[in-house]
Amino acid sequence: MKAKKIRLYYGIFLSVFTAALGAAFIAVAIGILRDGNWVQGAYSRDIVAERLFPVSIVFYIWIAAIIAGFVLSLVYPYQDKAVKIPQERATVKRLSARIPEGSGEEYDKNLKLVRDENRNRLIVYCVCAAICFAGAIASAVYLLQPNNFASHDKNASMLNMLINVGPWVLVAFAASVAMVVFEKFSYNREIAALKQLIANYKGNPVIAAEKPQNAVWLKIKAFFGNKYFKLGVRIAVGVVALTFILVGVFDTEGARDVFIKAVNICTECIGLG
Amino acid sequence: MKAKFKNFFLKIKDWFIRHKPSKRRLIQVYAALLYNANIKGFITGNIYTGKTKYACVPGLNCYSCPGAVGACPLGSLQNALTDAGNTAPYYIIGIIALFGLILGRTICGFLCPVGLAQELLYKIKTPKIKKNCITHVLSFFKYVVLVVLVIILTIVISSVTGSATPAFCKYICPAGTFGGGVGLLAHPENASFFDMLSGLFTWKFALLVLIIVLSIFCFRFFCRFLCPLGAIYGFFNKFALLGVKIDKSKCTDCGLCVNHCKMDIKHVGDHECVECGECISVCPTQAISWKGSKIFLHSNAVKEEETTQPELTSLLESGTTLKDDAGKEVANDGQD
Repeated sequence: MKAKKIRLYYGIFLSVFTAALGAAFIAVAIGILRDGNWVQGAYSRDIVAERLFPVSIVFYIWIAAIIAGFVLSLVYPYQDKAVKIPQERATVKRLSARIPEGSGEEYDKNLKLVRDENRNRLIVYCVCAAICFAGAIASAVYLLQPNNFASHDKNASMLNMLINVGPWVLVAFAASVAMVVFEKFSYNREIAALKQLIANYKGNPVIAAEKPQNAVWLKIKAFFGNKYFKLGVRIAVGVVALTFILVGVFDTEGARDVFIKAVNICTECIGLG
Repeated sequence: MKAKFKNFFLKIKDWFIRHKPSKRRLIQVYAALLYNANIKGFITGNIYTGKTKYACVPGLNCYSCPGAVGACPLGSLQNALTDAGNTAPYYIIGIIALFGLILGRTICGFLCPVGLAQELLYKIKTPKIKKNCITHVLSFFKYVVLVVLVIILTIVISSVTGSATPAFCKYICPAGTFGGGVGLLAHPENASFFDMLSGLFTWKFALLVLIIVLSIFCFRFFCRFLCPLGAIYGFFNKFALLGVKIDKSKCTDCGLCVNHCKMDIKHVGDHECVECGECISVCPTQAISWKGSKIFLHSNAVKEEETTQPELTSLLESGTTLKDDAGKEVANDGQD
């Protein structure tokens, strides 16, 4: 218990310290830009050295704290947490195969809950897919209009892009996150109902009628899972890749373009604009 | 007193033995050093201009880093796409396809310096954000970055304005900020570069610091949520010549491999898997192995003391219902 507490307090201390140090570095950079009136030329070697000096002292203390953490792990070794149980979907699938025969109000209620949860999940999947699709279309409409990027101030164009496309991306991901959270709770409710059914009713398992599998879909699955198909894809990709490389070297001078770009300092890449 | 000192030094020795670098870690370090072998560049403050820059390195390594001896595949791809209206980017697409075919996301697990840096940062002893269903959803954001920043914006902006804008490199890439930006600015010879710094550098620097901090709490934060190169290589994972594979005849769907893995995989070898091979020693039935292991390696010899749950194999075979540490029944699909 003592070891656990010490590790916990140390972990909290280091987390806060790390976040604060990161914030300090960012604050220094923003402070330099602000003091230079937010324009190019705000930075200089001397200003950066002067502003970073106090933060660098804190940085070295942070390094010392990290080393202390490793020494702590010698005295109070960290233990790997126990393996967690597998996902709910597999549990539902397993328990659904064991639904017993039965009757009564309680039985019908639990069975109805299982069916309702299945239906609710399907509805949520469809709604989420629709939201993501709408977000993709809206974003594509903006991105594929050249006029939105005609300005020579590329930073302004990017900012406008962020304002117009960002919310759609956020909404799509928020919907997806909400979907998986709902799915988790839904599975848990279904698992609880299934366990009730299995525990309280001792009838023979109701073997659900197997859905007839689509013969065409089975053939497609078998085709894509075939090892010769994989081999064929590998050979095809390899041939295409080598051909493209040769074309790039000897015909379109793609290799020369790569070389020219690589031997000159990419000012955009390093943040010089 | 003597015994206490002896005990302490034994603990240190034991720690070093338990924490000696794995072969994968050594390969990662060698790769990072090889990509940045131009030591002279760090001394003079200039970038390398030799012939090796005709070739791309497989991992993410900015070609504006003073030490870089090869080109960055992502930067080269964006540069090639800016001219896509005139000439198709055959060369760079061919190189990326070849890397993907041979290595897949083994590049991420073994040959990427950014991945190495994140794994080392993750070792810092703080509370960690473990993977869950939400991080799995967020892992698809890197595909958005790939499509929007690497492909669409690069092509559209260059076709409209006539000037090249590698959008991912310019606004996001931490390898460029750290390797190229900080790497060049740190040298006194490049003091004049400071005059060119503006809001863009401040944004990139802030993003770099944020990625570093988040990588301490969240395993491979950049790789999982932002890296478009990993997104590209992920498409090749199923067909790549190297990587991990599962023997379906031995696999019992116990899920230990997925639970042990820190990436957002649904199963070993999918598009999120970085093919690091950490799951191989966890599998109780030795169903996971390296592709090509029959040709190059001996069969997986899992030492008894390294096996996490040696009793599982016999339990699974006897059909015993498994329970986890909390006493709850472990799902074992199709087996009662």
